[in-house]
Parts: sequence; C-alpha cells; structure tokens
Amino acid sequence: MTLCPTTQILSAYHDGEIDVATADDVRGHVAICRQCQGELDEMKALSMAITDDAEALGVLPIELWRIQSTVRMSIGKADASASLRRTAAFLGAMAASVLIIATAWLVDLERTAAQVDSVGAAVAVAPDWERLASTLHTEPRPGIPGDMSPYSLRYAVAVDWMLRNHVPSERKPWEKPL
Amino acid sequence: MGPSDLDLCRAAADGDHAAFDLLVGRHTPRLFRVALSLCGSRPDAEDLCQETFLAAYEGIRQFAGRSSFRTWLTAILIRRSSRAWRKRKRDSRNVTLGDGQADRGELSAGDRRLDLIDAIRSLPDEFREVVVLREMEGFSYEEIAEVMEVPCGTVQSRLHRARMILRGKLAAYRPDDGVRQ
Ligand SMILES: [Zn+2]
Repeated sequence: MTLCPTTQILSAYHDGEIDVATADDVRGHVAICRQCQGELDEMKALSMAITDDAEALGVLPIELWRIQSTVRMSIGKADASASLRRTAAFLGAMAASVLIIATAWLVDLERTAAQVDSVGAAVAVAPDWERLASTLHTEPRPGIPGDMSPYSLRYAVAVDWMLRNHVPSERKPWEKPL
Repeated sequence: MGPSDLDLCRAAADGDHAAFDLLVGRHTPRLFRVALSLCGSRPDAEDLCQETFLAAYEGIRQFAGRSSFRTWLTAILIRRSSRAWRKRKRDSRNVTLGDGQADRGELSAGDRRLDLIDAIRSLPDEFREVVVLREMEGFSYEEIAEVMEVPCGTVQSRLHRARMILRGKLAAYRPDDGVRQ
C-alpha cells in the first residue's frame, strides 16, 4: 500500500476489525508513513484515555445494593400480583358461572309455572320460593366431607338469593328488628 | 466457575428469582458504567439499570440465547437510555456540554476526565453509543451492530466519525501535549 489509507480504515485497523489482507497492507504502510503513524497514535491515546475514565465510572457498593434490592423487590411484587390476578380471574369466572346457573334455574322455574297456567288446570300453584326450595340440596356432594366446590357453592348462593327475594316478608323473622 | 448466564436465564424464566438475582449482581458493574457514561448522573444511571433489569426479567422468556445475555441486556439499556436522553434534551435545550474547556486554561487530571466524559455525552446519540460500547466495554463491531440494529459498516463509519469529533473536542489529549503517551 503506497497511498495513505483513509482514517476510517485506520480506525478499523486500530480496533482490529479489518480483514487480514488489508491489515497487512496497513501495517506495512504505517511502518513507513509518519503521518499515518501519528493518526494511529492519536487513536490509541484517545482509547486509553476513555478506558482509564471508564474505571472511574464504577458502581459504588451502596448503588449496587440499591439496584439489586429494588430489582429483587419489584420482581417479587410483580410475580405476586400476577399470581393474584390469576386467582382473581379464577374466582371471577367461578362466581360468574354460579350466577349463570342460578339464573338458569329460575328461568326454568318460571317457564314450568307458566306451562301449568296455560293448561288452565285449577290447581293451586305453590309460591316460587317453595318450589325453588324443593329443587335445592344444600348438602355437600355425597362422600366429600367439607366440600366447598362450585357444585355445593352454587346451592348456597341460590338459597341465599331465594331467601332474599322469594320468601314473603312475614316469614322472614331474621329481618325483623329486635 | 459458577453457572453460565444462559443457565441462569433459563432458571429465571422458570421463576427462579435467585438465579435472576445472580445475573443482576454479575452484570450491574458493567451495565452501570455504560449507563453512567450515557446519561448525566449517578441517580439516573441507577434508575436506568433498575429499569433495564426489570424489562429484562419481563422479557426473559423471549431471550433465546442467540446473542450473549450481556449484548441483549445492553441493547435494552441503549433503547431505554436514548428515550430518556431525548426527553432530557427536550427538557433542557439551553444547557450545552463539553464546549467550555477552552476557557479554563490549564486543566487538572480531574477536569480532563470530566471533560472527556462530558465530550462523550455531548456526542449525538448514535456516536455516543458506539464510543461507549467499543471504547469502554470492548464490544466487537458485530456486537455493537446487534445492539444498535445497524450493519457492521455503519458501526465502522460511526466510530470513525465519533473519534474525529472527540479529537476535535479534546485537543488536550493529543500525545504531543504529553497528556497520554
Ligand atoms: Zn500514510
């Protein structure tokens, strides 16, 4: 290489980021060109200065501790709230299914009463709450002691709803003031 | 020798907090240095490191190990710091860095150091980042290209331009001034 390489080539040569053939050419040229040697020296000096300064930018133990503990705490919180969100979503879905089931029963119950009326039979129709009560079983599922699965919970919710809305008020002693 | 970064990443992806904690301890010194040379102050650098690690934890399942964890983490930090840097620049347009050394006469070693860091911080984003990654962290052109999502040729030309600008700003560092040989 007789002509001076560009400073960009010298910069890449300084970084050792140039192909072997070009690097050989540059090395040969720099050995005989004071100007390019000067350029390279300046690049080396700048790199050394920056490397030296990088050491002064070290993290202090207290900063390291703060970073680590903040990250640790935030990750713990994030995971806990993610797990809480999953649980809430599950409970929400369960509550929704209980409501749907309870509503479906009631709709079904109304329809049965309407059919009886349309036949025109002169039979006394029991009040809603009594007929609903007769369809419910508040016991847990047989053979599962302490069962609180959606299966038995839905009964509890339906019974509660029935007592509040369908039992005539004179038969609700628990709502009377003492 | 402890577990590799990749092993720790996989464990962290499975919810092992202690594994991620090890990664944080292992990479904070280097990451903090990059953060501090890119942004203005130590508290900002601390915040930037925390944000970077939290973002890394959120995305750790996406880290496939094609690049090193160091490169991946640095890429997250660079993206966040350019965002923060642009915001800060907008907030303080009238503050300029690094052009005042000519008036100060003789510089102490401490002043020179401050000026060099300031000069790096005053570079445009794309030049500042290549200088920090190459000169401070010893990243290869290929690694820088990956972090900055540009071709290797762009890294080469940006680094060259950045060096020229810095040399212009830092005449005090010329070898014939006897500052560094
Ligand atoms: Zn030459």
